[in-house]
Amino acid sequence: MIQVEKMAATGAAHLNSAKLNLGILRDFYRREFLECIDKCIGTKALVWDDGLTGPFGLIAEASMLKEQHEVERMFRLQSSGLPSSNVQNIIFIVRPKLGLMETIAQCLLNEEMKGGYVRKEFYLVFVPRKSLLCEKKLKELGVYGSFASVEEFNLGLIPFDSDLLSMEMDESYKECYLQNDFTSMFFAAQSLMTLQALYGTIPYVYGKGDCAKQVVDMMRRMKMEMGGVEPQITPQIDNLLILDRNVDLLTPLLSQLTYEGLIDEIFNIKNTNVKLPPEKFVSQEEKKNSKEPLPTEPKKFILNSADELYAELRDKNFNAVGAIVSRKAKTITAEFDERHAAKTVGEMKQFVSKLPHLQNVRASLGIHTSIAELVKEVTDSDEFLDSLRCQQELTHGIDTDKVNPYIEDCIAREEPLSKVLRLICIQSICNDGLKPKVLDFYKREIIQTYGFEHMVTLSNLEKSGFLRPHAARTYQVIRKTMKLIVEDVNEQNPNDIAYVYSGYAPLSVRLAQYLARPGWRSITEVLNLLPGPKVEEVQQIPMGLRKRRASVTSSQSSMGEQKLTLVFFLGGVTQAELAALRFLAQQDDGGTDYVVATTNIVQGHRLIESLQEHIEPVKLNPF
Amino acid sequence: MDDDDGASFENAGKRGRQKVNIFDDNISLDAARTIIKSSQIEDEDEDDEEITFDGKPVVKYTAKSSSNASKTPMPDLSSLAVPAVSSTSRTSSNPPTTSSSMSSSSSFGGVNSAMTFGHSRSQSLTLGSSVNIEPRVMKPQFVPSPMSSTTSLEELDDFSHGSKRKQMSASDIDKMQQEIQSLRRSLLGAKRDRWVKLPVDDTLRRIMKGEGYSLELYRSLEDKLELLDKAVRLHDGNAITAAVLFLQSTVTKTIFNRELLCRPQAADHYLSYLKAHFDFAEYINVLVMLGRTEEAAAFKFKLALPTTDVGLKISKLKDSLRSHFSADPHLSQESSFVQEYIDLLERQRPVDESDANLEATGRSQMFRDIPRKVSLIGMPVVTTLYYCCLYHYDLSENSLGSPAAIKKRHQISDKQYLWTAISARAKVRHWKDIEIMLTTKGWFGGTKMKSVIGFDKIVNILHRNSAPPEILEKYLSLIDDVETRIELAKKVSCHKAIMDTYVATKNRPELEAYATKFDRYSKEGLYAHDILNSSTIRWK
Repeated sequence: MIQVEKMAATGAAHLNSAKLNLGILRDFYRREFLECIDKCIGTKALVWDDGLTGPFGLIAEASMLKEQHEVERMFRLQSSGLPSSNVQNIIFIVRPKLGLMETIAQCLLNEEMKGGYVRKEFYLVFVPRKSLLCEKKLKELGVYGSFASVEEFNLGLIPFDSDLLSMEMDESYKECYLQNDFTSMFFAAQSLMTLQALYGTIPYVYGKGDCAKQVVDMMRRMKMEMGGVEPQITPQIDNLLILDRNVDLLTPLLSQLTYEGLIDEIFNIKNTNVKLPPEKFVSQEEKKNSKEPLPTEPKKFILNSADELYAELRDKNFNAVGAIVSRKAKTITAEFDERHAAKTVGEMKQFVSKLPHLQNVRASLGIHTSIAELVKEVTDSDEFLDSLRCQQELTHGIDTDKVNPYIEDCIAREEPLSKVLRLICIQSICNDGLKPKVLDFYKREIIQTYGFEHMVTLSNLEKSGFLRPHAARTYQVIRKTMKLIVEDVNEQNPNDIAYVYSGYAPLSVRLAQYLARPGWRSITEVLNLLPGPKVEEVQQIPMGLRKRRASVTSSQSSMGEQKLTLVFFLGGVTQAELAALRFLAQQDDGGTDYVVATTNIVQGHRLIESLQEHIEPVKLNPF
Repeated sequence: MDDDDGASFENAGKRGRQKVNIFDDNISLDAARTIIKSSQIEDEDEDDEEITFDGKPVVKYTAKSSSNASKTPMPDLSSLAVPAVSSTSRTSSNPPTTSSSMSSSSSFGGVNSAMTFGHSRSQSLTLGSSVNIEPRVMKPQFVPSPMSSTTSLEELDDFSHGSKRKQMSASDIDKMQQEIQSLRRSLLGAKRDRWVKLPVDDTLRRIMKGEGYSLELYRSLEDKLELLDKAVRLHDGNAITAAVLFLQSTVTKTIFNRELLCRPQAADHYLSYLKAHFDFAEYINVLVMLGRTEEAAAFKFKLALPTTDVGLKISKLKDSLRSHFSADPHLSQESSFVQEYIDLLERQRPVDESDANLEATGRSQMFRDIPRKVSLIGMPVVTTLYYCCLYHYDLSENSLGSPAAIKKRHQISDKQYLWTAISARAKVRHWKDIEIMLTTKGWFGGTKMKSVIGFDKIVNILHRNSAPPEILEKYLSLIDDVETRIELAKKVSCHKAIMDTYVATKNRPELEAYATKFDRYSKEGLYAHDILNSSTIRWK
């Protein structure tokens, strides 16, 4: 504990929050990574697998690598080979994907052809783990021997924010439920062990779903293999709740209505970065002054709680964002006007000291006003509103057993396939599977309009549980028992998590809410209706490490001390669910605070897309 | 963090020397022996070298000025590792950690202890340096050794702050000597293990940690199956793949298939191996053998998709239909789709060919007005229908390009057909065709306008194809719901329709308000004026 507090997260102050200092985790990874690359001596060039640059950007800065660790160049891994450089070492940092191995081999052979004065050493680092198949492939390609070493770097949960960790494994749902590949679950279990080593063994473990069970099993085994060696730390996390995405497939399909959720839905947030069209972000003055044409490159923004205003806005329903922004704008103008009131030198001094902060706030206000305008353009469009209306009808269970006229129109208008599939999947879930006639109708329409290739897409959706044949009625029961539909929800000052979808409360978060209070025993019936087994486990904590508390056995102690629950979403979590959990954490009677870990951040479009048969994008009707 | 690799990193420090992994299959016993011998010696004297050669200026400085100081932390750390390292014998009884993330120095296994040495040294390096002081503190918590108690933590803390650096004592040197001894022993052990049949658990652990291993000593089927079953139970992909491939290469096909059948998880890994190695024929065979015919069919279908040559694609699809889809009664719907796909391609090919020729001659007015943008081949059914409505609307049903024939063959719904046909005919501005399409015979020989998709949608389609106002007016007037009609008329800015609607609802104030928008003598203004002055209308 003492050492833990001493550590300061370097360059990521927003990760230190009162509940759990995730800076420690970031520092841990960062240290391991530096150690890994420092093993080769001399100047180096890092060759990055494209999928890794984002995640690594969150734990180490390029400038730091350059200045302190002799990393002279950074390249992107591509089959065209490496640009020439004079470094002594070349380190490939890649995910264990077979396709990448061929690219690496190509690069190595190219380098050897080139020759050169300086003899280069090659290294290979797999993230997060070596793979037998990949190494075999390299041997087959005849380049395995060229590597001075082959290492692995175990990057697990990457801290995104003070209450959010993500493994950034975008295809984990697809891998588990479509390809029967549970490797990502192994990594999840492994990263949970890392977390426990840093923050203490988590005493109570709950879970729901097949994958959750598997992760808990693996954790138990890993613990056994450690031979009874426990991290000697007082547990900082009280409960662990592992939720399988499979348990609640409806939530990620619905259109999120929080500020951050909408940004993600419309512009895709990737590794907390978002790229936006640049026109909105050029101020009037700049427009006048600059003679050059306006920038056409998308502008990149980092979205996390380091930005005070964003921290406040992100979880609000979008309908409440406008009011907050204009209120903030007023206060900030008022504060700037104080300088006129400042008479004495002391007052002036005080104002000047506040100035940098004020300027920051003003800049971020400008940015978020522009982003909100961009979002509003979309949310005001007919397409968005009609689709939202359709979704709400479906979640209310209205006419879900018939062909939905709006979906039919969407197909006729040849709207994006993922939007159509999203709506059909929502209907399938809300109706506990579609009637054969309805399903066949949709299938035929989709195949005829979007191409026969999508037979594969449809079969993928069926296999992974999004489209189902008609089965026993459960949705209505779950909806009523868990109060998933909340009428007249207050979007400005919410009193229920349902505000994040303007009237629909995500089932996953309801499960977390019920677990905290009054406990899962009250909803046994619902739990039995949901797919997959239920897990409840207690990990014994040595006496000396237990939190001092009146009764350790009761999981709902009414002590004043706030408890901390880690919710781990296997297969992804949406920004809106995060918002709902953050909302719960702020409630006085919630009983617990939350930190969220996830395999990846999802939204409906990306989730469906990952299951779609990839076809070269062609314009549907070019004639 | 794997031991082997650490070792090779060390070796890499010596330029130009080849990487050695004594556990590699391709290194002979003798070679391994020499490597071990030489690397032992080198490891010893390399110790100082490495520090001085290390790129870090800070470290270099420490090493030179006070080599003691830079070394002192080492015994401490190695002492952390010693209990594990020296207990090569213990490893079998005490299953050590496999989760490598837990132990940054996974020295716990202790077999390749040459590396443990290397690792702890690299730790001491950073420890001595003052750059990364604080993070270092966390380290010991990851060494799952009983020694990592609070006391040693405090000691480390002291070191890292450099407040009181201990001098190297005789006992420290002793400790190091002991460690070297134990490392030698374990290296010998490792060498010996190469030829000893290790317990299955140990081998699996080695696989999981990415260490060297050999499976060839498992000769009996029971051993092989035990290996596989335990690997499956551990949920470790690498281990399962290794075990299943070993089984595949050492037993007959019949036995392999039999065992695979009752181990679905192993089968999955074998399948993904086959897929990754582009052994598609075997991949499909195994799927069929496992009774997963649907997947086999889907995969065969997927393989046909990227083919660019139509003829080849058709024959591939036919092959998949014959060998997989039609063989399985559960796939009847899918097989009818595949058949349709084949028919569609077979229809597209001649149509596309003849149209391309016609276009090339430049004699057809149609293609000069609206040139074909791309080839028709590979387009979805609805797009094909659109194309045919565009260029071949008047063909009779028995020719390939006829829209009616496409509708019939692919069971296109009336709505979908109407939607597509209207869009296409609107594009070529044949309003008459649209009228005919929407006209139905009434009861007594009269005609009536009727549409299956709602006239509001038809107006939208027409508007998108920039139909003239007269046409829009005509269809707007057919919308029953007044409010929709006004809203839509406003959207497509069809003023006459709006005014007519106000007349129909006898809403004079609205009409008056609307009329003010126009110039008195414009076309719309005059029209509004006429209506307002008309005495035949009874306003509300």
